[in-house]
Amino acid sequence: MQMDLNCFQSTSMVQKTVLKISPDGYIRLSFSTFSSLSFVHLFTDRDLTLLDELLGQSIPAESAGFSECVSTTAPSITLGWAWYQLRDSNCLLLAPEIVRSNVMIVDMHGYDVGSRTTSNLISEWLTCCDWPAMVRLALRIPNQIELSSVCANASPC
Amino acid sequence: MQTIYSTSKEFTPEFERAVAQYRHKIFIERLGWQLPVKDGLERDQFDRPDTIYVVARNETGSICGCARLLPTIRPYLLGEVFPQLMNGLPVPSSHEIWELSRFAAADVSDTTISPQGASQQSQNLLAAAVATAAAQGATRLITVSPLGVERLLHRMGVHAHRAGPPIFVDGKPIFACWIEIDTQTRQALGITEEVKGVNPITH
Repeated sequence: MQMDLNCFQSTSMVQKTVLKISPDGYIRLSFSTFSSLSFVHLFTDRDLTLLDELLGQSIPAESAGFSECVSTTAPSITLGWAWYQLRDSNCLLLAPEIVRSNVMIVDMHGYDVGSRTTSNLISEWLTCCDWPAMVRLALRIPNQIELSSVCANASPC
Repeated sequence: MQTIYSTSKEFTPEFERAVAQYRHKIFIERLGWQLPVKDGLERDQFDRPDTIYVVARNETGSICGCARLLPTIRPYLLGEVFPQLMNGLPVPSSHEIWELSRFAAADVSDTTISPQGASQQSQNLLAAAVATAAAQGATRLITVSPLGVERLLHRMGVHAHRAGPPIFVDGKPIFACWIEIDTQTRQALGITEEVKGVNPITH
């Protein structure tokens, strides 16, 4: 199933940007360059272990799983994140976990911002993406007719 | 839990067989991996006399964890079988990069262990594996792992990141993962002392 993760402004900059893998395996790029990339859905699956863990943290999850995307560039940027569906709702939210990737965001001087900050930046970027639609399509979850207030305040549903 | 590390040439035949039986229980019976099997034993071409193993035993002496370390300057799993996981880069070949494989920390005789206890066992075994690799001169580890391992590593606070996108093998997603043996990883795993070489185990 091929789905685009459309949360970028333009691909024109990407076409001019040459991505390179550093010897340590990271692909280093600025956040603005990262934000301009196009991603395609790789796969999505439910994860009962994750669901149990979230419930153990008193998170009212109905289901949980993870999703994977890759950039349309070569070499590929890979992103993986965990999500959950709120109980009694179709609202999908990012699970409180690190976003996994092969990216290291660099600042305006070219210095690494660090793996934790990189993950936080990608998480913020994800909240602006319509990844929930991608997950619903992959798992055939019907769209919600009315969004609950908590959901609407928390993240795109 | 007692953790021991050694090359297999230091193993007695009985202990080598016990490790292969444990691996069969975990990787074949429990996880359903498609691996070479003979007589209830799981071994492959990378189980050589110079391969380094880290093995955990419980209070009764039963094996409750294992890990395998291979130098990337000799044939190893990712280099020989899964080079496509490197996202287009050549496979690593360096004295400073070792491969961690066949990692498992599960006491099959203990069905009462809590998730926290199981997590602590995994962390202890990983710490032993990282310290053992570091003693061989490793500054980085590369692994071929199921995606779930990535979450485990991040929860421990280990400095780990992907080498490239996951691919499906036998219907399950796997990926190549870098583990940096740096201050972050050492602190996360509580590694304060270096392992002094690879010592023969005592039986």
